[in-house]
Amino acid sequence: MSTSSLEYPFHYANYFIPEFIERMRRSREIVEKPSPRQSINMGKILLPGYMREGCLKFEDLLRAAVITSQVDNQKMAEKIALDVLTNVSEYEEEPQEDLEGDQLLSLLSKKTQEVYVTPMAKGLEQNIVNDHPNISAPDQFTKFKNKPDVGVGPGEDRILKFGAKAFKEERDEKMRRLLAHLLKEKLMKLGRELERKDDWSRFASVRPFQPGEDTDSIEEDRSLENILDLGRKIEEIRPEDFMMLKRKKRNRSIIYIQDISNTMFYDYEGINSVNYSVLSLIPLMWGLRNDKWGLILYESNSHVIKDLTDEMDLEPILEQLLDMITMTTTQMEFRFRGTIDGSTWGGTIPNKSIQWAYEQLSEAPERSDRICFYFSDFVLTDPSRDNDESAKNYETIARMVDDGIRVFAGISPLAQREIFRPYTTTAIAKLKKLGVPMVETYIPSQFLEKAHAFLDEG
Amino acid sequence: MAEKEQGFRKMLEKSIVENIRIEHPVVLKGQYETAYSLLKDALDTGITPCLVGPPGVGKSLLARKVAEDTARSFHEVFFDENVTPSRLIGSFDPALVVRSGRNISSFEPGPLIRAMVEGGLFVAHELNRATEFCQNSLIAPLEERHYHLFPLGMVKAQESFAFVATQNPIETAGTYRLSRVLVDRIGCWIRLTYPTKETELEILKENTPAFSLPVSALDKIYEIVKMTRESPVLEIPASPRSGIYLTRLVNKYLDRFETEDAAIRFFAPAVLAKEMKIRGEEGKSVGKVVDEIISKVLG
Repeated sequence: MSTSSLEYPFHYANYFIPEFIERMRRSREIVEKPSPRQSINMGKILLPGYMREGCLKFEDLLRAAVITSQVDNQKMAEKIALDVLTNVSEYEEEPQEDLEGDQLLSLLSKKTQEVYVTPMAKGLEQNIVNDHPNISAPDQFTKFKNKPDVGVGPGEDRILKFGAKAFKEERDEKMRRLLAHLLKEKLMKLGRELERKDDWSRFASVRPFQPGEDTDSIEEDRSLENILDLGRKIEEIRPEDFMMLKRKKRNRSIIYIQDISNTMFYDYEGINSVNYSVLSLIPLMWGLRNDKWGLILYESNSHVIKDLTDEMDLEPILEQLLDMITMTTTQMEFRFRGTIDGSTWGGTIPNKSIQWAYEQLSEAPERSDRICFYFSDFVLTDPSRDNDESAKNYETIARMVDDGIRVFAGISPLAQREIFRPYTTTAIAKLKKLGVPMVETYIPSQFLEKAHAFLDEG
Repeated sequence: MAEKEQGFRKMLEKSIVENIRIEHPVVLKGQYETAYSLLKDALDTGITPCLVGPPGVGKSLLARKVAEDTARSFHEVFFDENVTPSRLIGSFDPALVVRSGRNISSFEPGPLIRAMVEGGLFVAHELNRATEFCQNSLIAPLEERHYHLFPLGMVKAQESFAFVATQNPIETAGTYRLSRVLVDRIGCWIRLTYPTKETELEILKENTPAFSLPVSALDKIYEIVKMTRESPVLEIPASPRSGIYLTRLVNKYLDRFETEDAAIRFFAPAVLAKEMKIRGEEGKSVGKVVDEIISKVLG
């Protein structure tokens, strides 16, 4: 039977719309759930067709379901609508957590603060665990009692670090997804703050007002000064006598280098260098997403994720970077190779990545601000070995600096730990000598502040 | 010099029209017929639609066609990071403000306020390139159909005011994520893709003045354009717009060449390569890919 012969009375919409919306909300595939507005819009968009034809057709219902759904959800919407229309019962899915988005975020923040601010706090942790058994076992909270904080700063940073640890240790897939979502939202929020600051710092000098511009951006003091200098009477004042804050047009080309060698996965009190890097790298990339950017990861091999000219959606890449928090170096190898075949993996050989970054940025227009953000623990020098190879790294970075490419290093706090110090001291000293700012990724918000100051210098 | 300037001013005055009319017939077939009908239904029922599709598939034209057919004035803004809310809403002339204060006469309305007041159609092109700041200024006009214009007061939109957004499906550099609040207020997402052969051939013909090409030439042009869309190395292939430009050139200058193949071979690389983009394949340039496709089609 052709679907075009299927006709429904208008009141069928009373069943179809709520059933479709309900199933969409329950679907795991749909991240941003449909709001009541979508139900209203479905009803509205069905009406003209009904008025023309005197009935609702199969296609009308299917189309209404699809087009009122967001673009990313349209495939799933089509499938769900077809299921509803053909009376296919819903796939069994685990019920969704009732809380989501901000509610969950506030829940996590609250818990985090209680645990960290008062680690011995009157058994509160047990209450939380009792209320939410999925989140973690009690030892999740007692584990850090009487132990020094491993680098958690105030507020947001504390939540981020706790989130990263919880994410790493959580085994329940559903909770892991929720925690990943929350962490991503938090990191993007930090990124947006950087974006805002960056946006404001683009206002540097003043220029005359032009009709149609935003009068809120008029620099009042300078305008008044200018009008007085010109000796204008009130009736003589012209629009161009007013001075506007001038937006510096600053094109940037940015390459991010992220170290994923074995040493980056060395856990120290539940957190490793990759975790530190990622918590600073994600907000940095999100905050600067409107600039041209490229990303490369390296261990013994280099892995180009995106070059400067590629066009890619940033969010899935950030999600993959976030996934690295929970991964071991073996899992990383499997992800990149699809197999563990015993070939070289995990060493610290950044030469090719640095060279690639240099080549990419050399091709970018010289008038643009060319920046290389380099995230690593800088375990680059083995004192017991010939260091010709690592010398090449510094040579390339020196060439970058000479060519006007600005290099900024995000250094893992673990680089200063005793175990790594013999291997990092030379590298850190050499990079500092080249004028590369070395900023610890200890507290993401502080790292971002310093990164912003660095960006502002350009 | 003064005479020349005065001449220009007169010409400028003559050139100012209330609304630009669509010059060529719009082909409303296949996906365009459905999209047009959906667009009208959405506007009739007060739903804000967004047309989503690659560049050059006719999103803007469709919006303009709806404006024309529903006798609405047409206003548009192409978003990018430099578009501020005052570019949409309008702003006060500071010199007039100093003289007479912030009032209606010192306010220079932007296209959104104009569309609201005139009951016209406002098209927000490339909506996902609008900054968060700009996106927020669209919420009240979309949902409540008013805008609070300080200190003049609340500007209420006319009944026939309508808002249409367009955006490209690929997230390219310079795009912002649409806020959830705004996404929720866009009631339907109409997807347009490359048209079918029958529809596209008609589009090529209708948009070529004094069309006189033989069917074989038009088929070859279409085949070349289509093959760019099937090529795995091309991230951005040729759009119907490129096809139109190529058809126009071949149609106009065919008599300068010995064969139609020669004419197509001459114009195609320059016309098609301008908007195409390689998918990051090493060692391949757009020009080379176009040459390969032309050779395949023309031999």
